[in-house]
Amino acid sequence: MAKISGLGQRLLVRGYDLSGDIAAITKASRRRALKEMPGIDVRAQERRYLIGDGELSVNVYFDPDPGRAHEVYGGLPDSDVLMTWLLGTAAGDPAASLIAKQVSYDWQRGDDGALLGSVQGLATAGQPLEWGRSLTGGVQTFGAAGNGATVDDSAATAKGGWAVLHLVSIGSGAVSVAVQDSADGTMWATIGSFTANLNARTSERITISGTIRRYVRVVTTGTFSNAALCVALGRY
Amino acid sequence: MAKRAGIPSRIRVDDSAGTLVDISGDVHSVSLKTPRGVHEVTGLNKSAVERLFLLKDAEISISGTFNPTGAHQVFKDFDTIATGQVGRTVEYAPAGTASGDPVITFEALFESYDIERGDDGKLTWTATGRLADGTAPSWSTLP
Repeated sequence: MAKISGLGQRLLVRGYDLSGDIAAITKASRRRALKEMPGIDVRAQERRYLIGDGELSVNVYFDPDPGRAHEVYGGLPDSDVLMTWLLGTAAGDPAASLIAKQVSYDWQRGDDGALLGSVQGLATAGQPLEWGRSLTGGVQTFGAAGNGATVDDSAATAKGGWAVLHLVSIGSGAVSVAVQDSADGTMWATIGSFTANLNARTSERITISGTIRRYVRVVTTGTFSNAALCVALGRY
Repeated sequence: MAKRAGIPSRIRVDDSAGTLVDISGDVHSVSLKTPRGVHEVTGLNKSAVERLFLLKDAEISISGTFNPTGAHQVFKDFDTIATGQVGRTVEYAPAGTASGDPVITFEALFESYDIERGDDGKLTWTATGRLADGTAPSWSTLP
């Protein structure tokens, strides 16, 4: 895969697909503080890592319709917010995710009449901005129970990982979503499950322990129709 | 040897496994600083400043266009250091890639990896690293 532009991306915020209201991702930052610790025996700086941090900030258009940016951001929620940025709309495309405190909702009305807002999300819950890959084709609609596409991560990893789910909408019934892995792309086992029997918009992050084998995919089970969701997974 | 532009340049950075990766194709600008700390020690008997050198340092800021399989793979876990190493090796040849051309190498701890998606659709990144291990960066030449 070559260098890419920022076209055709998605931003999910606590289960809402706000992509059409997002003007720009102004900062998706993973950071680590550094401490200078030179001994008296050296002639140049020595440093060590300290605490990490993360940020996912956007510029946003004013959209007061139900389920759009103003409703989602305007209340400045007190609770933590799961934000996930999909850098493409195919399974396997890069994805960044952050459990954030939304710390601002600022607006500027220019003298030309343009109205542009800015929203800053800062890391909370002790997790920095995390990079992974999408397991769905952007926000993917599962008409009924079934499997997502196989994503090949080239090799197994042994340090666990994380997965996030944004359930944007569901036509009827209830869906259960899980992540599976495989060594050969044929025999699969579940490595992480989101809360079962979801029948309304929601978002969730889960931790996955131990080995994650080379191939991964999302699976949906239950009796439902048209569950629109996205799932991303990252490895440590 | 005459003055040169930075065409071509080459920059390589260790990935999380400690393997140098040539990310030049994904980079459109590099800013390198190799400052020296300075201590002003002017005696009462002087009419101009006296100074002593203190610690050497290095800072590199790399910017480029997002490539999911290129530089992104190097920096997405920038704070993972390979076992037995103290930082990520940075090797930067600013003015040529032929044998004998100047190159600077040092061990860095990267402190940030920032992505920006502009309202025009551009997708760019910046990573900033600082000297890690107390060993002053040094200029040499490409083999």
